[in-house]
Formats: sequence, C-alpha cells, structure tokens
Amino acid sequence: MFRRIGWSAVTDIGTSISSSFPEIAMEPSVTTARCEIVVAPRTVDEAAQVIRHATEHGFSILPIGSGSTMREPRSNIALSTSSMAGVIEYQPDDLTIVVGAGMSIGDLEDVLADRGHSAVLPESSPSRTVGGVVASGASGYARLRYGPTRDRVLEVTMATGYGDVVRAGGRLVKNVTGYDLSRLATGSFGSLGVIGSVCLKLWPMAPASRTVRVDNAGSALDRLYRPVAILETGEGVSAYVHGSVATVESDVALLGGTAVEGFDWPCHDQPPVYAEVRVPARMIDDALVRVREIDPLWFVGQHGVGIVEFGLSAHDDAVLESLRLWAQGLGGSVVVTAPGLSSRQRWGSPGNTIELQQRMKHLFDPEGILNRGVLPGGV
Amino acid sequence: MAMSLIADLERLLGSDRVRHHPLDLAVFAKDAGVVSGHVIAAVLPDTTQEVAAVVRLANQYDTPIVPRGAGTGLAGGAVPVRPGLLVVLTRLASIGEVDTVGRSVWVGPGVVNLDLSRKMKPYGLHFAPDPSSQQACTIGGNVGTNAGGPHCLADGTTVAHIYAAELVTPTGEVVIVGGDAPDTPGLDLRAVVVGSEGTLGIVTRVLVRLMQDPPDVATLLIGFPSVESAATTVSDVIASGLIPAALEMMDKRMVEAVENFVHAGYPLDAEAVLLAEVTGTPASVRSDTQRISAIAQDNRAIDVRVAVDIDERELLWKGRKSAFGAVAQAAPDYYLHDTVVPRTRLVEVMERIYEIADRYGLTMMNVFHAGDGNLHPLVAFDAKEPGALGRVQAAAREMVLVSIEAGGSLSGEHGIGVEKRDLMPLVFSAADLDAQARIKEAFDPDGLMNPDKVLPKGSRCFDASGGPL
Ligand SMILES: Cc1cc2nc3c(=O)[nH]c(=O)nc-3n(C[C@H](O)[C@H](O)[C@H](O)COP(=O)(O)OP(=O)(O)OC[C@H]3O[C@@H](n4cnc5c(N)ncnc54)[C@H](O)[C@@H]3O)c2cc1C
Repeated sequence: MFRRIGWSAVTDIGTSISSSFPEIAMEPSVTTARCEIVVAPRTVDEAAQVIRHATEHGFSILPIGSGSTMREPRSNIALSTSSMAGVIEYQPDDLTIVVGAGMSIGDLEDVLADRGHSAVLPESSPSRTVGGVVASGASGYARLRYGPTRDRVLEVTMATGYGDVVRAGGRLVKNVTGYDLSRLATGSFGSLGVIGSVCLKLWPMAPASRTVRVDNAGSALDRLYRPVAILETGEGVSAYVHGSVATVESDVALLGGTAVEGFDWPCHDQPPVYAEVRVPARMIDDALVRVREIDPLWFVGQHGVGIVEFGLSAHDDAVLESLRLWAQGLGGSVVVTAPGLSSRQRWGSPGNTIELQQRMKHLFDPEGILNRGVLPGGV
Repeated sequence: MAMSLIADLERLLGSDRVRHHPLDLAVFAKDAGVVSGHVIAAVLPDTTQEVAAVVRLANQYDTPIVPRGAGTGLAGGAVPVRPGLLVVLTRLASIGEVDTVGRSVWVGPGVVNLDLSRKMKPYGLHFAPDPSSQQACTIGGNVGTNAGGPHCLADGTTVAHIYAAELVTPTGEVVIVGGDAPDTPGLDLRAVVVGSEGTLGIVTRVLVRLMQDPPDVATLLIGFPSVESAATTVSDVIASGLIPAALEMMDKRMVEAVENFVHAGYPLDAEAVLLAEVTGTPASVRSDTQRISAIAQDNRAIDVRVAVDIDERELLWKGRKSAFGAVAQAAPDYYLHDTVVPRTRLVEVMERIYEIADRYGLTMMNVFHAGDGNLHPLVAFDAKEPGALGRVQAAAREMVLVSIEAGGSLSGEHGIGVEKRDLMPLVFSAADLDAQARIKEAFDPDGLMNPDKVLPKGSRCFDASGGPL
C-alpha cells in the first residue's frame, strides 16, 4: 500500500507531500512540463488532504483527468484523478451510475453497453475521463437529442479549494433539494474543487441507428422528429437517426438520402489549435460560411445546436478575433484551445457576470490555489 | 421606516402598483402551502428597470425582498418570513418573437405556463415542463422552483429548458446568465439560478427552449389489482429501457375523488391506475404502446385502455390534472408531500408509506410522477379537529425519513422554501450545507434576497472560525 511510482527526481514538493501522505501515489511530472509532480489520491478525502497541505505550504494545484484539455496554468502539483477510476454504484434498473472521476469515458461506455445504456458523453475521445468531461462541461454530438452533458450530472463529490469534502445533488433523476452545486461544478474547469465522483443519468440506447447523407440540413431539422444529430463537415451534411427499426426506416425514407447503418461520427486528428464558435442555432449557416473562409484543417458544424468546431495548424490572432467579434455580436463566443494562450485569447472578453464569477471563485478557492486563471477574465 | 419606503415605492411606480392595504397584505402573506408570513407591501413592476430600482430602494432601507409569481408554490418560497417587500412579477408577461429554427423564445417571468404552450401551438412547438398547476403558475415561478410535471420524465425538469435568464441581482444590477448561444464561457450561473427559489435574484426575462410537438401520441390508462403491481410495472417499464413521455400513478382513493369531480371514466374497481403516454413517430408509438401493455399484463393489469382520439386523451389528462382540486373539494385541509426515491425502490417505499398513514389513522391518497420516483402522498384532514395537524406532521416526518433511508431526497419538484428548510441536515452534511451557503453568499452577500429560505440557520458553519484552514 506504500506506493511511489518512478520516484527518482525528488523535489521539495515531492518530499513535502510524500512525507505527509506516504500512501498516495505520485510521480515526477513527465507528462506535463507545467507541473513539478503528479499526485494521485485514491479518494476524494485524500484529495482534500492534499489541497489542505498545498494551502499550508503555498503550492498551487492543477486538477487533471486524462490531461487532454489541460493546457494551463503552470502549477506546482498536478492532482490526478487516475486512482479514482472505478464504478462505484451502477443501478441499471434506475438508469443511473456513480463512477470515480478518473474513469475513462470509453471504459464507462463499455460497462454501460452491456445493458444497452449510454451516458451520452463525447463520442470522439474515449480516453478522456468522466471527471474531466464534466469539469470542462464538454458535450458530444448527440446533444441535439439528449441535451448537453450537464443535464445528466445528478450528483458530484468534490474536494473544494478550501479543503472540504462536499457532496452535491443526489443519485436521483429528479431532485430540487437545495442549491445544486453539481450543476455549478459542471463546466467549472476545476476552478472550484477537484471532482472525485459523479453520478450520471443514463439513457437506454435504441435498437437501430442510421447515418443518412442529406443535401439540406435545415429541411432535415424541420422534418425529422428528434434526430440525434445533424452534422455538417467538409464532406457534406449527415443526419443521425435512431429508434425502432420501423422508425429509422421511416426516417430514412422521409429524408430520401443514402443511409449507412450505425452512427458514422466525424473523426479528425487532434489539431495544434482547436476552436469552437458558438452562436444561436439559427445562425449556424453563417458561422459555417465564416469558418470555411478561414480554411481550417477540418470542421464539424452542429445544426440545431449552434456550434462549429474546427482545427487550425497555427494560432492566428487576427482571424480568430474577427470571428469572435462577429460571434460576440450575436451573443455567442469563440473558444480556442492551444498551448500558451492568454485567458483573453482563449475565451474572449468576460461577460457581465464577471464579478459574480470572481466572488464564487473566491468563496470556493479563497487562496486561489486551484487552476487559477482558467476561466474567462482570468478567474 | 416602512411608511417612507412605501412612499418612495409609490413615487417610483405610482400608488396603484404598490399594494399595502390590509386585505392585499393578507392575500399576499401566503402561497399555496401551509406557511404564512409578513408582507410590508407588494409591488407590481412592469419592466426590468423598475424591478432593479425597487431592489436598490429595498437595499437602501435594508429591507428583505421576496420575488413572487402566481403564488402557487407549496414550500413557502414566495412568503416573506421576516417582514419584507414582495415583488410580484405577473405584469412582466410579454412573449417575444419565436425563433422557429433555434426553437426558443424570450418571455417575461409573469407568463402563465399553459398560456406559453398554447401560444406556441401554431408553431408546432411547446414548453415541456407542465406542472399540474400550469393553468396558474408562471414561468418565473417554474424557474424559481425548477418545476417538474408529468412530461418531465423524458424531457427533464425546467433547468433543461432554460437557455438564459435576465437576472436583477440582490444589489440591483442587471445581468444575463446563460445565453442564446450554447455553453456560455465561464461558470454556469444559469444552472444554479434555476431552482434557487428566488434567493439569488429576480428573474425578469427568460429564454426558454421549445420542443417539437410529437407527430403521434398515445395515452394509456391501466387499472391494477394492487398498488404493488402498478409500482412494479413502473419499475419494469423503466428497467426495460423504455422512457415514456409520462408515467403517472393514482391509487384507488384518489381515483374515486377524481371520478366524483370530473367523470373521466377512470376504473373504480382498480386499486391503482397508471396513466402512461408515449410520443414519437407513429411506428414507435405503436410499438411502445404494445410494450407497455405487455409489461402491465405481466403484472396482472385488469384493464388497459388506449385513448382513441384527442378528446379522450384530454379527458384522461383532465382526471390527472384535477386531482388536487378534487381533494380540495372533498377535504377541508390537505397536506401534500413531495419526496423522491430511486425508481427501483418505489414498491417498498409505497408500502411503508401506507403503513405509516394507517398507523396514524390518516386518510391518505396518492397521485404522483411514478416514472421519476417522485412521490406525492396527500393527507386529507380537518385542521379544526384537535390534534389532527400534529398527527399529520408527525406522519409527514416519518414519510420523509423512509424516503431518505431508501436513498431518496426531500423534494422532487416543490422545493425547500421554509417548509423543508430545517430538514436539510437529514440529507446533507454540515460541509455540504456550508458549500451551498457559499453559492448564496456569492450572489447575495448582504442576505436581503428572499432570506431564511432553503438553508437552515447557521449553514455557513465555518463563518465564526474564518474557515477550516
Ligand atoms: C394544485 C397544485 C399542483 C402543483 N403541481 C405541481 C407540479 O406538478 N410540479 C411542480 O413542480 N410544482 C407543482 N406545484 C407547485 C407550484 O405550482 C410550482 O412550484 C410553480 O413552479 C410555482 O410557480 P408560481 O408562479 O406560482 O411561483 P410562486 O409560488 O410565486 O414562487 C415560487 C418560488 O419561485 C420564486 N420566484 C417566483 N418568481 C420568480 C422570479 N421571477 N424570479 C426569481 N424567483 C421567482 C419565489 O420566490 C418562490 O421561491 C403545484 C401547486 C399546486 C397548488
């Protein structure tokens, strides 16, 4: 039970942590140059202990899942959820599951697939962790039909920035008992606390699914009843439908295009610069025109949702700023993920809730040790 | 002080929109629940700017502010516990231009829930949350309580149907939480404002998500020989991987009350009935109807009726939606519970709740959102009978405890308000409550916005020591 992984480069921080918590696994940071050491607590209580220890010694912490979306900020300790990665409670008949934050969404979906269930998490990156997906508020392509990931987060446990362990929400599909901190933690990018476990609402998966090539996204959106997704890429527009065999057959007949069995989701390499333009759904065609003009490596537009994601080979401030100016004029945003960006380059200017956001951050992380500056406005 | 506050408010809004006649105050001192409070004055602003001005004025007078919609809440959320100013939002009732592509519309908080869906009908759209009180309750109140309804089973409660809200903060600033575009960067404040029971600010405009009307619908009314077989059917339907649009249950006593009231043709020989609705393409509606009937039959259903047309469907729903009215007519007083349990525990929790009611000699009826595990045991009583209220309350506490022991919670949709505030420690630890109190503090550092609600006194438990560190 005394575990030290590859413990050779003993730093001051490492010594300080290992002497206080000999049972917590840690390793010198090789995966990221942005932290000196990676610590992997096994429980949310241990995570809280590490946070308290860090507070006492003035260390900063970067919560990480798989590290896929981690870019900044520079911190002393990467607090990894990799040792909290199992199924805690699966209630198939209630369509809920509780898992450790470090479980990968691929592993989770494998467990669920046995019972014909899904948590409807992002399709394209199975190695991302549940905690990371929830903390970044990331949703998959099926959100047109199933809503964003946040609609399925029922309960979280979290080690807060002030070093307490809290539980929020409940393992119930319907619940209005108090302020729902689990909804606030979703999309908080680890700025309020480290998520230890998550309870998710599940959906039964339909027996049949099809991907149908169509000419016109707008008319597909109009005519289909609750399609799973309508995506537009450089190759064209596809409608994703599911249901009973009879239902998908009638959908395919209605659309009249060529259909393949199953969901043929777009896939693409991790680009040097990943960006999303988010606009009111009715403006998606204009957003697609503007993204095409940039000549990206690839793009995927989500009709009915209002997001176009795209990849670039290099960061170009002028181009992204002008796209952002346009999107912000419509009440939308452009979010850019690439190494070394400032908060402003990443998110654009913060909205008019900035003071509320700052106060919330301060109340949950009074010393500012968790992922400082990760949110818009440098919060 | 109260008089000069009222004079200032009258200067701001005119005297007809500042109510402080004793008769008005008596009306506004209660919502639809059992708690009553103390209203200094009720104001009826017409615009966001007026709401903000009222809030700033109340701040100057250090006076608590309580937002109120239609006052159909059941937890005392819209009732000032300390003498306070009631801000009634019913006049902010405009409906903006419908975005038929993005399927959304900006509405005032005072728009009545059912009116919204009626007005969206020509577009083939509707607002999914449909509380039984939908003829009266407002969208602002629905946002306040994160209201649910029969059709929230498949579509989720109000929080999944609010894209953005304009909020007058407790200090009188106007901000927008959430947005017309998805995933507004930053913390998702929208998601905590929804369901915050008017304690984080006053919602003055809401961008609601609209859903497509389904191409086909079937409504089933199924009679069962026992509550247990009905509850087992609910669990079996969900476990089979079918999420109907709605799955509601009523027990025999409730069916009798409803039949006397609306004559919907509910089976009087059944011990319990399920009202199920499936929506979708004609093909899926056909197959889902068959699947539910088959599961019901396996659980010894004595009668399966599928509504043949829209009139019959509306009649069946009228039975469900008039349930509370029917009880109000039959009993002088009633107490309505709202616990929620995992759906796998429905049968055993129902059994224990009946046992509790019997033990206290209470008349209990049940009508509830079975598919969500959201229980609404309703106890009819006569408050004038000595000791009656005490017995009702003692039984209520036991029913809550039984639900929590089964992994459930205090409220599925009515909220905590004042009514359940002091039960919060049954579900949450001191640290959990402290974290929730931090959310409140971030929005409302001075504690003037609907104070004394949701969290028990002393929830911000680390105040005195300045935090645990
Ligand atoms: C017969 C009956 C049946 C019911 N059935 C259901 C049901 O099926 N499902 C369900 O969820 N509820 C139900 N309820 C409860 C109630 O109708 C809901 O809670 C409803 O959402 C309250 O709306 P309201 O406009 O009456 O709000 P109010 O009662 O006036 O207020 C409710 C809460 O919201 C706050 N609030 C109101 N307006 C605003 C605003 N503009 N900004 C900020 N806060 C605000 C108030 O402060 C209060 O805390 C029922 C009630 C009755 C009497």
